Amino acid sequence: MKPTYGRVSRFGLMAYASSLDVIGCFGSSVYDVAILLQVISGHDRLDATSSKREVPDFANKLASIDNLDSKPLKGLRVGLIQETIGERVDAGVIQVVQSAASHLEQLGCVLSEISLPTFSLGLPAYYILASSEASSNLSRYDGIRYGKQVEAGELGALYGNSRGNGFGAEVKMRILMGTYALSAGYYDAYYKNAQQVRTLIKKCFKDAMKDNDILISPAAPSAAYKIGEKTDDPLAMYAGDIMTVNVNLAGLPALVVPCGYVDGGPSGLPVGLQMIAAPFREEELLKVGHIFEQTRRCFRFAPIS
Amino acid sequence: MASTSFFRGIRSNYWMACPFSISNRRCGPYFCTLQSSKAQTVPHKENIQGQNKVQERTSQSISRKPLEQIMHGYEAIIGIETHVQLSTTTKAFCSCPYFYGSRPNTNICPVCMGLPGTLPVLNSKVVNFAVKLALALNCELSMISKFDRKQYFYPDLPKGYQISQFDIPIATKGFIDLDLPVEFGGGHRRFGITRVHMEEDAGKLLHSEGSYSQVDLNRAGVPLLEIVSEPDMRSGLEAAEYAAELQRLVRYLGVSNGNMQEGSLRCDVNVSVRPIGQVEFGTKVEIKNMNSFSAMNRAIDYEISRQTLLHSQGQSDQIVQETRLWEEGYQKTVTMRKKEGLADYRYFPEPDLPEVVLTNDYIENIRRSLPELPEAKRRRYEMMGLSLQDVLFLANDMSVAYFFDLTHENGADAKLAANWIMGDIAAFLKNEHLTIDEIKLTPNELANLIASIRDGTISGKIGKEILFELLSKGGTVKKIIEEKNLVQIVDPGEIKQW
Repeated sequence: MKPTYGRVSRFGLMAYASSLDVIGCFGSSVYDVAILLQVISGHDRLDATSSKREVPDFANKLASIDNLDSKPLKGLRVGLIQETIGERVDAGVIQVVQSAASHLEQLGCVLSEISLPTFSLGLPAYYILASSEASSNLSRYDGIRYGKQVEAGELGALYGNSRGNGFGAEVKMRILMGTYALSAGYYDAYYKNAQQVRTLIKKCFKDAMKDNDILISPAAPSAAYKIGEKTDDPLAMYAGDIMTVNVNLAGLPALVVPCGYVDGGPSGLPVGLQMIAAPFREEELLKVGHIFEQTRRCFRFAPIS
Repeated sequence: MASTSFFRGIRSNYWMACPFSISNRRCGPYFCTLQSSKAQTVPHKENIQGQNKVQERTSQSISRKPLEQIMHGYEAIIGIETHVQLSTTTKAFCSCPYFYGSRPNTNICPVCMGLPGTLPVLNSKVVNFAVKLALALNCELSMISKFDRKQYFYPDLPKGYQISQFDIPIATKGFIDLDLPVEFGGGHRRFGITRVHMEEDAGKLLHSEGSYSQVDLNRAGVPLLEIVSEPDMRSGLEAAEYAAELQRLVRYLGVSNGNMQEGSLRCDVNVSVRPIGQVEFGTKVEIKNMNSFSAMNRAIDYEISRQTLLHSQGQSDQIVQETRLWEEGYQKTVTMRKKEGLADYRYFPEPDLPEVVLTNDYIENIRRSLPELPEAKRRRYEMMGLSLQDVLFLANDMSVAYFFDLTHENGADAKLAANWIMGDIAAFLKNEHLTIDEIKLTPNELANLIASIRDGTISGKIGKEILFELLSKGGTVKKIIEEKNLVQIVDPGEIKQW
């Protein structure tokens, strides 16, 4: 579960991209996730971006399978995002997600396909904003107050060598990208444009939410790739985030539940179904996720409570 | 100073979660290792001496001619950036108190140290003070403003960026009115204010003996207001008076102690010179390190002379964009650093802080709470028929003005009250090193004293004696007159009996 931006305090979290950072929770069941979310949610006076909204009793509202009728999600409007089941998405993934959508229909949901025209803009905007903020947030790791300081005769070298030694390659690349995007003469072309894209994406989601209670998509364009498989091609790795970055940019809550398998490995690879709701509607996601998880018994490792 | 003692002051109430056990680490070269090279803020002695030789001729000719003579055909353009340290109880973005002169690193917490995982939370008093000053400076307020990060690496800047306001400051387009002192010819001036914005201060580097420097983060995160003037000043005097008026204003408003020596009011001055009639500005030079108004005056006039001489000698190409330091000991400005292009601070909106939204109610409440400001006071005193000299003296210090106002309200004639305050009372304060708040004389008794002289009960001479009694011991005029039987005898018949 990735809650709404601001639902969970970021105080104590080492900041990566402050306007995108959200503390989420993993669990072996939706119920567990609900318990955990309940505990970590709520306003914190030490985080000015944390929301003062009341936190619902997430876990207590989840119905047991024995009390469900045949159409427990009757009337729930579900929008399957067209752009997430098209080009550059693994055919097996598309198939599993469509079958999960049918399952939701059987549970009583009203399914429709919807379009998010700004969908493809999310990835570049996300990487510009995230690395810009990261380049700034990681400035404090300078070796001056703590950490490994490389002694040097000159201030520039002290900073350069301490940071050069301390950070790994991927982090350095993102700091460089972010620094570049914020530099004089490039700010408008990159950071500012990305912020504008972000505003458009938010608006797009808002429009889509007018006619739908939740939106669904695959959680990733393909099943997991092998460790080290794409290390030499960072862009291919970043492309794996395409399904989730839009949600992150819009600050919306999203829940991913396992929904089936594609071929690969000794016993197939799991595919996640992403469900997206309007801001602070985690409750809705948990409810749908919980029912989905309990009724869709085709996969092997989701424990039934 | 032993750097092991540096972090002993970390408060550990709800910060117990602080993951770094800094307090018990030995940190010889740990917190403090930069060698004094570029980081040094004070130029090397040789450097100054080298500059001396080069500039000797210039400076001699400067001292011989009066400024007006040198300036013939040229004009100076001066703009000032002022940083005012706010006297809020706690810092701008955390709950640390700040006391000037505290032991290094005793007024700090994980937030103002920039430790991982910490976040800034805006102190609402900072906004309150900013709005106060903005209103006093006749500014337009931004109903929505935001914070930005100004990024650069320096050991006194723990987060690697300063939280400041960039493209949408809280206030813009104001002005300040002031009167030049009578002894310099007087005259009313109005100088434009470009903007006022909120930001946080950085810490301090202590350059000690040896091959390292130490960092004191007490000042890091202390709230500042930066006030940028229009380039409206034309002389060192005007610039110094601008700064003095700002000091008066922040003291009247109670937003800062305005103390230059402590660094609560810091002025960076931009000076350029151009031939009269030329539209574009000359190359501007920034001057720092002036810690009194008179130093400002002298530093700027020195810099104007230096630049004007270079202009008139056809060497205007030697005026380069740079930062120069005022050397009080040498009474001259020396190069601190030449600008290598414009610094790129990579500003971007601070994602950790929401926008600052003002409401009309909030602003009006503050407007109603403003005290009578120096300019209004001066104009009111002028209307009372006081001379400009009296007006400036009385309005200069809020406590003096308050004392005067009360005396006047208690029936004393304005001119007589002013004379007593500026004469014997001021002299007493000076001798005894007291402020007007600390004396035993009350405004009411001063009014009574003036009335007693006026109605002939006592003579002016006796009045003075009574004044000193009141100043040092207190009491009432009536009682002292009775006790000492000091009533003036005005009946000639009665006098004859003696």
